[in-house]
Order: sequence, then structure tokens, then C-alpha cells
Amino acid sequence: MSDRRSRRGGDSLFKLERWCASFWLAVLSACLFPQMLLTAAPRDPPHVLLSWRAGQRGLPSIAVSADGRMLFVQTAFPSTVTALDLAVPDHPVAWRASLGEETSAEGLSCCAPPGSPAPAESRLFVNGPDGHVRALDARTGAQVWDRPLARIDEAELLLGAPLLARGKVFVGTGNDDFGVRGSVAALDLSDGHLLWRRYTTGPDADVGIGAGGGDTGMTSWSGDGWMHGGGGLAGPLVFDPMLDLLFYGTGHPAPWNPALRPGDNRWTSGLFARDPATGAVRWFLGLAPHDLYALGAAGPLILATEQGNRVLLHPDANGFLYTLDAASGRMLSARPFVAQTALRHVDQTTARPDRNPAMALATNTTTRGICPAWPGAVGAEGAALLSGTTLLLIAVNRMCMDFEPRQAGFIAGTPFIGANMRITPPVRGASGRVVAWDLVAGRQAWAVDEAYPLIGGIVVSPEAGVIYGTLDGWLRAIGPDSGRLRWSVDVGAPVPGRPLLFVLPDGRHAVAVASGTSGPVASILAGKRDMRDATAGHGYANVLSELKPPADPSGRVTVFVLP
Amino acid sequence: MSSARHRFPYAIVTPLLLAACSGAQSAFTPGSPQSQALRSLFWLMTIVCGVIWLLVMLSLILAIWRRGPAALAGSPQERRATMVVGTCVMATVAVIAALTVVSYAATRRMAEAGAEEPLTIRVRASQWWWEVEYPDTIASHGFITANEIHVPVGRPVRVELEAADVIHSFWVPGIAGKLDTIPGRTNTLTFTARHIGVYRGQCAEFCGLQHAHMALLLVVQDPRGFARWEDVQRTQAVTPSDTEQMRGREVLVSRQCAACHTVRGTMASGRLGPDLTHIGGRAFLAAGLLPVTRGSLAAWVADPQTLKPGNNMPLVPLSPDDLRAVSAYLAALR
Amino acid sequence: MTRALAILLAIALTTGGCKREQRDLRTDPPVAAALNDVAVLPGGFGGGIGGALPPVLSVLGYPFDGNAYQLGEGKRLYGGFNCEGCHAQGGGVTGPALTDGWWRYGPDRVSIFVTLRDGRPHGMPAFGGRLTTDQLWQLTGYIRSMGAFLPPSGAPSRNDEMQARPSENRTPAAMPPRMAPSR
Repeated sequence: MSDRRSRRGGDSLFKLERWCASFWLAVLSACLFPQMLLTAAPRDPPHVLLSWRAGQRGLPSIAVSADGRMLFVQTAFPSTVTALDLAVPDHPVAWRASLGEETSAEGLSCCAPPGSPAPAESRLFVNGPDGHVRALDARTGAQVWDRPLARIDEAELLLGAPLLARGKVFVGTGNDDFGVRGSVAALDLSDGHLLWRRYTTGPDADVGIGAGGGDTGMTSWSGDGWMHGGGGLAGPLVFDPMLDLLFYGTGHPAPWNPALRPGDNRWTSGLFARDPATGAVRWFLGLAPHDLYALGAAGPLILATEQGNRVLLHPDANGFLYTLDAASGRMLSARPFVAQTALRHVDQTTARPDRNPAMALATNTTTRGICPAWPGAVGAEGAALLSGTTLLLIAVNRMCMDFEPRQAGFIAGTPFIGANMRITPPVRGASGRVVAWDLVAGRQAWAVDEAYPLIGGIVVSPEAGVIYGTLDGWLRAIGPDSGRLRWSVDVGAPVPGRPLLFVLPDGRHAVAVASGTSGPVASILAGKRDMRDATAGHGYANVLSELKPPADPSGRVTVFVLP
Repeated sequence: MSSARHRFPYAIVTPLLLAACSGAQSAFTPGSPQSQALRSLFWLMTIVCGVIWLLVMLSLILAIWRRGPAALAGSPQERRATMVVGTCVMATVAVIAALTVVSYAATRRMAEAGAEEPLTIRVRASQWWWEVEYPDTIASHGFITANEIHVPVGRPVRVELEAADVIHSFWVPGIAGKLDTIPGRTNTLTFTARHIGVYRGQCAEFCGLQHAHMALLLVVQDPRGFARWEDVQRTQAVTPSDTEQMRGREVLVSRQCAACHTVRGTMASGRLGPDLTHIGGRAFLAAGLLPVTRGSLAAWVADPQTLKPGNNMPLVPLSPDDLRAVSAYLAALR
Repeated sequence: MTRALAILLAIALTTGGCKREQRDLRTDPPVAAALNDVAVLPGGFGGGIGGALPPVLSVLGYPFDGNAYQLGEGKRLYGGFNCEGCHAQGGGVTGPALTDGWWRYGPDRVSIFVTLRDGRPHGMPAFGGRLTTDQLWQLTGYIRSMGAFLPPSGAPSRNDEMQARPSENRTPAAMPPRMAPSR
């Protein structure tokens, strides 16, 4: 009896012990691997509608027609455009057009993902890697017009995606790392003739400033510096039909070594608002005069309405979220959304940065621990506003860098950098993070860490949640209210671009994602870089050295139907 | 005969020793309060130390001359000797302390910044030439030149010294003491030139093959002349006035020259070699090697490695016509 | 006799390294012109691969393969002519890696010289008009030393400001096995 009781007691004790052990194990693992909690119960994952292999290296860029019927895929080097019909079963290729055999842009395009094609009613506007803007017939792929704009022999590239507005095609050009002057051009939608072209640097007439400007686009540079001063349009072009203004951020000044370009280096690293009809400047806000760390200001630009006023939200590469009055360019606020060491604070009215003297640079001297690193705290497509709310989702890179400025001379067609960099992960935490920013409260609502920097970009909708791709080949969706993981699928290759949310002709929600390799980051992933050199990929090698190259180096486009 | 043979080495050595005592590169013709302070310090130290040395030698000779028997311990002679030695030690300490204070005061006076806003010049030493940058608050008013520093008389000048490759040392004896340029560091030197004139300086730290040919010129001008010079330096390169110069510019821009040299106003924007925008107006070529004339420019371009072996300018093979055109263009870049 | 032999041996040992440091500062223009006479095999991807070296190289004693001065000059040019912008310090950025030794056009001297002089597709610019012929050869030598295709005795070391490990071209034994890149 006593034996049985004791055995029973032993049993229950054993059960309690086991329960305790598993409880503490769960707590421990939750602390050690917080991702496990998130990945524990994925909701029904999306199913693959279509997977299309490009058959060549490089990240394809994607666009979908307004009716959701056609998926346009543009490959880079050499460039082709393929239209896939999503309305027909098996999604056949509707047409395919070649944009020439030019491949030299592969070595020239550094960091920006290639711009997506821009579909209009019956046309498709494409930025070619050969510097030509083309209009194709959206139904047949036949070329309607072809306009050479950027001189590829001088390393000038078309950057980003064309923007269609007011009967014009707006195109950004530049290549900051090769010392190319950035510009924005307006082409006529119907025949592609050049309506106006405005540069980032140079005399007021080139920049589009009226009389009395004082040519500060020249006088804030030493010597002929403005002629090869960078300031390209690597970020998005944004048009506001309510204010009739064209917005964009300008890239960083060239070269990276700030000692070689004394002065404020106007009008690089700032935000422009232009009149789309004439290209005249309406306002400019310089975010980083004499940009020390070559971060530029070509980050995301998001328009919102607040109490009847149009405001422009700009999470900048320097780690601050700027809020501006879109009509006047007046600063409303600047708040840091990520820890950084480069700036002490930003003036809330003039946007003038107060730099940390401990992070000053000197030629031939290595300054360590500059955060954020040169790729910026946020990529060009790294932010999205959840419609109907005041929640801004930001895909944050939390990298730091060691920076050593070096002597450099401008030789047309060769890189104009003059710096060695090594990127390091942050002191605490992971390199990537999704930050949900509460615009009303002016603070972070929640955040989810990611192991690798989130260079690709982020999309959000109330139905689909927050969707982003990672460099280790995952496409993830998380809930917009708490950051809880909804689903996560392996796409097999890095996703250095932005996923595309759209509605299929049958009304189902879908997301298209391009995976593959582009720029210094993804070429690291393709195994083309020697990771033993910490400066490989301008220092990216140092944070990505544990990533394995994908089994299939080809670019790929996958379309998922959302649950 | 034999005395003439003995005198011969002195006849050579003495003028060689004294050759540095005057002229454009001499610490004995000071052109600034800083070099004046250095000279006073030098004379003070030399005279004081010389006198002491003479006294020591005299007493030594005297002591040997009047050598007597060794003093016994505790004897009055020994007590006197102890007192003499003690006094001498105390005198030595006092003299050294006084000289230290004077030297410290002189160094301090040299580093003193005047009330007036100094003219800032950035000098970057490379193998084997000097890049001279005049920064300005209006960036486009700044300019870069080489191997020649112009300063206005009477205005304090602050020289920021950097090195591009190895350690060099900036030394213009007539104006200031030497200061090393160290890669990755910025050293600063301040001075105020008091006398109009041309001072020669050179690298004072062995820096490689052509260390000997790494000179620079410091030109002290009246403020008006300096302002005029600045205005000229700020302008872009002159446009060629004839077809030969035109061709020279074309050759310079299209050939290897443009990859290393800058000529403002053309596509040539290299930074490896000296800025050539106003080379025709400079006194010397290749860091004090040759005076600037069309002929020396042509000779230099034709064969830099024979004139200054080991320097970083390669021999660019040019046809005789091209060479003539380039030298005409360079000489016209005033 | 033994003593003389010992002295001779000592002299031979101490001067044995002189060739490594010998500085030929000036290339005669006819020699420089002859250095350009590479006979490239036609065809290949966007230009020739391989071929015959200029005969004058053998007369000069192949100075660009092991002479420390020539390779050091090559390193100076590598930094000065913006190579680092695309190839970093050998690890590659938008241009391919150089320290891994897996080169699209091979480790052959002629291929590298032609790559530098005439450029290649996918963005390699031509440096023929920007460097003189002997400078192109100096750079060729340095680039081969980066891929450890030259004996390390003459090769300059890598800059170490950014690195946490010894130079690749000097530590072949410690290297991880070379994996073929998936291209």
C-alpha cells in the first residue's frame, strides 16, 4: 500500500518535474530563439501560382498591369522584357522583347535594384540598362519609341523606375559611385521627346532655379567638383496630383572621401520638389550638406494627409524619420527610428544635422563604429504606410561600418569613391529589423528582428499584412498590429528587391516576388566574391559571410496566391 | 708646399659650411617672428654653452697644469674641492633650468595664435612633391596648387600638414622650424611672415629616392599682390590662344596625362600628380628641380625618369609635334 | 681556401636578394613600344584570351613576375586608378574577386594585360589610354600576385587597416579550399 502510494506520489512528482522541465525549456528556448515563437504556428501558407526562371544572373524587376492580368518581367544583363498572362491557365508568355545586348551596366550599377517597368493603359515604359528609355506596346511588345538618355560609356545609368504622370514619363539618371551628375528628365509620353532635364549639381539654369539663386550648385563645390559630383536619383520619384508636385531625394556627392569635395556640395543629399510641367524647383531641403558618410537622401518618400495637409514622410538613410509639409518643404519633425552614432541630433526646423565629432573622418585614417553604414538605415523601397492607419512600416538595416577615406582622382567611366569600408553588425541584436512606427505617438509600436539586413523593401496591406523578403531566401508575412509571423515561405534565392502586391483578375490577392542577385550584396550571395577580403562588396562581405550561395544562380519570379 | 696642402681641405669645407648661412633657405635671415625667436634661442644657447665649454676647458687645462699631490680625506683642500664641485653642479642645474625655461617660452611664443583670423593652408606631402590647398568658406573660392606657397606679409598663417604616403618633414628655415608630416595625422604650424621675399624650403625627413628633390617655395607678398595671385589661382585654366596650344590641350586631355593631373576647366581631373591649372605661372617644376620654361616643361614631359629618376610620372611616348604642342600649352597655363 | 669559399658563400647569400629589389626606373621608349606586342588568340567571350607574350619580356628577364619594385608600383597604380571601386582590395564589389584566382579570362599574363588595356564586357573599362604600357605590365604583375599566381617573395603585402587576418596571397597553405563559384 505504502509502496503503491509512494509510487503514485513518485509518478505525479515525475510528471510535475517533466512539466517543469518542459516549461523552463520552452521559456529558455523562447528567450534564446525568439524566432521560434513566431515560426511556431504559421497560418496556412500561400500557394505558388507561378514560378518563372529568368535563365540568367541578376535580379529581374517586375510590374503588373492595372487589371492584374499581365505580369511584366524585365531582366537586366542583357535586358529583355517578358509578359506573362496571368488570366490564362499555365500563364503562358504573351510576348518577349529584347532591349539590346548591352552588358557593361552590370559592372557599373552598384546598389540600386534595377527599376521596374511602368505599365500604362496600352503601353509599357522601360528603363534599359543601355541608357535608353523605351515605350513598348503592352499587348504585343512592339517598340513604340526609343529615347537614348544616359551615356553608358561615361557610366551614366537610368536609375529606378520611370514615373508616369501628367502625360509625361519622368526618369532619373546618375551613378554616384562613378562621379556622374544626377538628373531628372521629363519625356513626352506619346513620342518620347525630351521636355526638360534638370541636374542635381551645377549652375542654376541646369538645376532649374530661377534668377538670383547665386549658382550655389557650383559655388558650394571646389574647382570642377560639381561636374562629377554625383547626386543621382537612386530612390523613388513620387508625384502628388493634389499639389501637382514631383518629389525625389538626391543621392550622395562623389567621391565618398569628403576631404576631396570641400563645401556643402549642393544639391546632393537632399529632397527636391519640382513643378512637373517645367521642372522648376519649388523647394529643396538639404538633409546632409557636405554628406560625410556618403549616405545620400534617396530613401523612401511617402505622401499622407494629416488634418487636410499633405505631408511627406521620409525615413532617411541616416536613421531619422523626417516629416515635412509637402507643399512648402517646411520641416515638421525629425525623429530617430534606429540607434546610430553618426549624428547627435537634427535641427527640427532647418534639418541641419549635428554631427558626432567622435566620428569625424580624416584621409588615410580609419574611423570605426560609424552607424548607420553606407547602405543606409533604410533602402530606397524600405518603407510603406498601412492604409487607413498611422502605422509606418520600415525595413531597417542596423549595420555599422569602419571607414577609411583615401585619395582618388576622377577618371571618366571608372569608380570615383576614394574610401575603404568594412561593414560590421550592430553591437547588440541582428542586422535587420522591421520597425512599425506609430506616426501619431512618434515612437516605435513594435519591432521584429531579422538575421540579415533588409535591403529589399517592404509592402503592406490590411488583408495581406506586412510582406518582405530576406537575403537568406525567405518571403515572410507578419501581422501589422503586433508583428506576429503569419507565414514564411522559402523562395530558394535571396530577395534583394521589393515584393509586389496585386489583385488577380479573379479577385484573389497575390504577391509577386523576384529573387536573384544584384549589386554588391547579391553578387556576394552568388559566390562571386572572396569573403576573406573584409572590404569585398564595399564591406558587405563582413556581415554576409555565412550566407550560402543559392543552388540556382538564375533570377526567378514567383507569384503566390495569398490565403 | 705642405702648408698649402693642409689648407686645401679647409678652403673647401669652410665655404660649404657657411653656404647655408644666408640666402633663401637660411635660418639666419629670419622672415617671421617665429624664425626670429628660433634664431635668438639658437644664439643664446650657442653663446651660453660656448662660454661654459670654454670655462670647463680652461679649468681642465689649469687642473692638469697645476696637478699636485692627492688631497687627504678631511683635509681643507678636499673641503674646498667639494665646495667647488658643488657650486659647479648647482650652476649647471641653474643654467640648464634657465635654458629650458627660455626654450619653452620661445616654443610657446611660436605656437601662439594671434588675435587675427589666420590664413589656413593645407599642405599635403607626397613622394616627392607638395600639394598646397587654400580652402575657403565659399568652396569654389578654394583652390589647389603645388610646390609653391604664397602668403601675405603680416597676416598669421596656419599650415595644416598631411602626408599622402610616407613621413615627410616641412621645413622652410627662413620662416619656421621643421614639422613632420605623418600619414593619417594633421600637424599644424603657425607663423607670420614679416618681410616680403622668397623663401625656399624642403623636405627634412628622408622619404625615398628623390628626397633631395623635394623643395618648395614660400613667397611672401604684400596683401594686394597676394590677393591678385589668389584671384588668378581661382580662375580656370586659360583657353588656348592658338592652334598649337589647342592641340596641346587636346593631347593632354586625351592621353595619359589627364588620369593623374587636373587642369580646371578641362576634363583632366586626376589627383595623383600636381594640379597643372596654373603651372606656367609657377617658378619651379617638379618640386624645385627646374625653372619653369617651355623648354624645361618639354624636357620634363619627354623624359621625367632621366631628370628625376624614380618619380611617379611615367614616360608617356608623344610624337615630337605633340610634345611641342603640350609644352606650348603648359607654358601658357599662367 | 675554406675561408675564401666561406666569404664567397656569404657574399652570394647576402646579394642573392638584390635582383628582387633591382629598380629599373626608366623604360626606353622602343622597349615600351615592344612591350605592347602581345599576340592575342582571337575569339573568346568579348575579346581574346591567352596568346604569346611580347618577346622583349624575356630579354628584360620577366621583371613583372617577381621584381618587388615593379609589383609595388603595380599596387600603387591599383589604388590610384580606382580599381578598388569595383574589386575592393581583391574581394570584388561589382567587379569579380581577384584574390580567389577564379578569373573569367584566366590567370594568363596576356589575358590580364589585354583586359586592362582594352577592357572587357560587363563593365571593365579600358585603361590603355590612361596608363603607359610599362604601367599596364606593372599592374598585370600585381594582379597576378593577388591571385597567388606569383611566388610570394616579390609580392607586396595587402593593406591591413580593414582586415583581421593575414594577406591572402601570402598564406596559401592556410586558405580554405577554393570553391568553384556558381556562375
